[in-house]
Amino acid sequence: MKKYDVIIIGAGIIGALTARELSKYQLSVLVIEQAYDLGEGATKANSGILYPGFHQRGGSLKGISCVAGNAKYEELCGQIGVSMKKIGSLYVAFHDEGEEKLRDKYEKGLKNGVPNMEIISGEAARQMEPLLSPAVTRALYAPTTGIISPFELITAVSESAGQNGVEFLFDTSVTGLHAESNSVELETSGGAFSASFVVNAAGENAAVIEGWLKTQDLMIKPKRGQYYVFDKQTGGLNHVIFQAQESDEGGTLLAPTVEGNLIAGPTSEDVSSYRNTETTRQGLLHVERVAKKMMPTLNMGKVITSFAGVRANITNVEKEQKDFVIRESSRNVVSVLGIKNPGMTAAPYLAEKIIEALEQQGLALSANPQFCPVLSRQLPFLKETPERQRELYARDCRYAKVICRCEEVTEGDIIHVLHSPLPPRSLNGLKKRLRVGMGRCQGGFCTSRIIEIMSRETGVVPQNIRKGTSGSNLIKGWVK
Amino acid sequence: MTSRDLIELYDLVVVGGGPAGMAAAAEAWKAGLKRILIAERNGFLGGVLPQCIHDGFGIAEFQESMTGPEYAQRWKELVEKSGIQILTDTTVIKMETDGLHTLTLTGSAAGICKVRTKSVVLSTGCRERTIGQLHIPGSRPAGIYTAGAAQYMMNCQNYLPGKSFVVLGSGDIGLIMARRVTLEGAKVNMILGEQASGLLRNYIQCVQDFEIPIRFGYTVLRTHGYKRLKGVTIAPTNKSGEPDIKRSQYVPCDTLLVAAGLIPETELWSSQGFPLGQAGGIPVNAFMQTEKDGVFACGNVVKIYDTVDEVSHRGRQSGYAAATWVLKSEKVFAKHQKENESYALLGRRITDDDISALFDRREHMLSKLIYCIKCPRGCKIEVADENGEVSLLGAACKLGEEYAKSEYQAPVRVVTTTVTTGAAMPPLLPVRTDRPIPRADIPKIVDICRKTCVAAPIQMGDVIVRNAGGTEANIIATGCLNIKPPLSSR
Repeated sequence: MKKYDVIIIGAGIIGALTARELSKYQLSVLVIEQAYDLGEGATKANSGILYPGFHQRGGSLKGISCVAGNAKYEELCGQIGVSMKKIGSLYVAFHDEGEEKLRDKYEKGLKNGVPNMEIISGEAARQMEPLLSPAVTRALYAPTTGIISPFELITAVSESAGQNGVEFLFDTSVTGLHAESNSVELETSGGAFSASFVVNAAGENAAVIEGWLKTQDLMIKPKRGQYYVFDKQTGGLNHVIFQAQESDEGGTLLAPTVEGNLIAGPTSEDVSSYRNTETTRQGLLHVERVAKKMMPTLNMGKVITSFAGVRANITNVEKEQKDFVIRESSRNVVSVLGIKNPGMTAAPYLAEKIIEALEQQGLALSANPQFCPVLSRQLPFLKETPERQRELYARDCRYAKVICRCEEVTEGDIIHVLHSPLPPRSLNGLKKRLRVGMGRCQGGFCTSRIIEIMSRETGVVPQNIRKGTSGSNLIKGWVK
Repeated sequence: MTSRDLIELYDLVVVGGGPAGMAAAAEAWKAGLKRILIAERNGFLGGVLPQCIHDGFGIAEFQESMTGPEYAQRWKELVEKSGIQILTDTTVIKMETDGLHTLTLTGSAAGICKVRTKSVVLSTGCRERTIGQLHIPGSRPAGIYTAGAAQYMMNCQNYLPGKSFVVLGSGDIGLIMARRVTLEGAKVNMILGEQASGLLRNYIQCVQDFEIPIRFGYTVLRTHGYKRLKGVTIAPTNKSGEPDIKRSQYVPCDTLLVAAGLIPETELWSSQGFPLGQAGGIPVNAFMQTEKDGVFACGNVVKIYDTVDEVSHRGRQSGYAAATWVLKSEKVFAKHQKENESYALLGRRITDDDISALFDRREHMLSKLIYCIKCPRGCKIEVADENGEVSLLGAACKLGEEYAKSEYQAPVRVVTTTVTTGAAMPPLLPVRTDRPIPRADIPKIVDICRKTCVAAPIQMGDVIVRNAGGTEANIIATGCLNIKPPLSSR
């Protein structure tokens, strides 16, 4: 049985960032993930926003971790080569009631330490965002709001952790957890493991896992958010637009993405299962209505797709008291519970808090002299410098052959990623790493070609190439 | 060719070597341009034609009905015997128009390079509308494909996308794919048409022949399934497109083919901020000239055409116009204008009236009425059969009468399908019968093809099976199979 210093359950953004943080010390670290790939839970389907930190209760862990996490992203993204833009946001109000909410946000922001906020007139807001609705009466401007690709982030963070010695194990679910006097024994679908310490960052399953160790006082249920994605060239926005919502509007926002698309959403609905990532007619109509309220000229004909994500929501705590939970579940086990937005923003700070909690339990931290903060990632061929392009082309001429036209991904890029240290094992995994099939034709042209390339490169027969999880085979067999 | 063969300055670069681009290049060559380059992103010329193994192409351009690969071959030969340079597996990623035009190409043969040219023909074709663009909610499991993607899988890669289908969209592509899927032994549970569209010919030869259920005025309300598609909820829509949720119904299927229309692929043009026309394509004048000097556009990137013949025609127009532009000729394009009309109606499109006449409760096709598909007029011919005494009413000509009689008593069809090659690439060779065979014999012919494996070399037109199944028809190749596949096809 293999023994690790720390085993992390869950390869979402919290688990991955905690793993990377732990790799700064001389520790053996394993991340166990039940899904087939990184970030398959709440991490893969959210707004891609680095929140400023004024939405959350003043002084709460949510609020403080959001502001502190937000501030850590420049350095992190610089080190691991993730594109991130602090484009700022406008929280807009349409009437007196909304303006009251706006002032409340401003107060919360002050308490949480959000820097450089400014309340501006509707007119001033429209000067910054000409397509903003004429009905906007006032706006709260926050310059620290950012946009980032959750796909790129989770991949780069995990690769950086991997480069510094963290091991990853996929398709493995933890079925039992026993805290012994100075170790924790894990039963998994892939056999038994032992660790000195365990971080339970299992997202949707975190409460269940903690329930094996102590009486569970928190009720955590799935909450779904639906989004529309608009084509590049839809244009028109330079900031993230939040709005002072009516009671039934949820936190629907409108924002440009780092890749140049536009995103609208989410909704906020209780669902019965974490697997329920379906969009609904009502949900999408809601997103359309609220998005158009902010930007009346929004052209729904530019929609290229819709998606939904599910996050873990604590249901038995009152809304205003609800917070992120990081706590000791038993001896040598720390659990992270109820992480929904702004979880991704807060994650770099939460990772440090998790390690503090481990340290308090006795985890000895001595610096890893080999730790390398910098991850040198190969960019997609067409984004590389001319010199590097010449070099790559000389190595393999397929680097110059475009497979995904919309996102300009080449065959060489795909081959490179398929043989990377944490390789994708499905079309969705490839999408996460290269954005293939995410453009305006939504894989219409490239999917069939990618099946061929994946099959050739991995030695898996085409009928076993999957879209995502096991059972999601893309084709049924040979025609003849 | 490789980057070393590229020259300093081209007269014309054609972006996209499909039917529009090949015609443009061929015509420009004929008109006197000598330095022409076609950049094609696939490993072969022809665009989407090689995957369109069914027949019905070329009736206007060549006065015969050909399959897609055969039609492409005609143009390919024309292009290849000229001195036109061809770069396959090459994508144009950027166009700068400033006096002379500079195009940035990337491809396995040439790497990334820039070429300069006096004129450009944009013939980049179109892409398919996807389920996301239709705003259809539900889950996004494996098993949802656009019809064209499924067509490429089935006809070029030998991949069977599914076993139990629903087809959304009753345009030509949807109908043709419904037939293709049926011929290969999978089941089409239903075709859903939001409105009447597509050629009458395809309703008869794809839907009626195979008794595929079709519903008009329906749409998909929701997709179901987490890993693989399990089914779809369908519902009728009212005039403004709103679904009637109370009348929704669940249809199990493992694959949804989306055949909901085509969108001009205008990226190179619109990424520069140039405006699009009303049809969503690149706006051109009667000479296929855009508002930018020396930039021409043709084919589906301008607007979505019904037939490939018209695309080729527009391609020739644009090639001629580009040549005239480069040669500063004053013969002002007159030559090509008068031909336009003959392309207007190559086949009759179905109308709402046709649907009422042809379909029982707008769902099942009736056979007592025969629409003549011999000419664009499309006579409605009623058949009365009294103890074998057949009388026909409504045909405007002898040809129509003969057609109706044969359709009623012994309908015949040309069968198009594929045979395997035993090779990894290409795994399939498209074939057809060299003459029409009795409709009842279609399954027999398809079965023979299913069991046939061929080996290179094979030329287009070679007989694969003589007197197939005793029908007297031969099965002939509609594509070529070279001993050594070109490097570019990998």
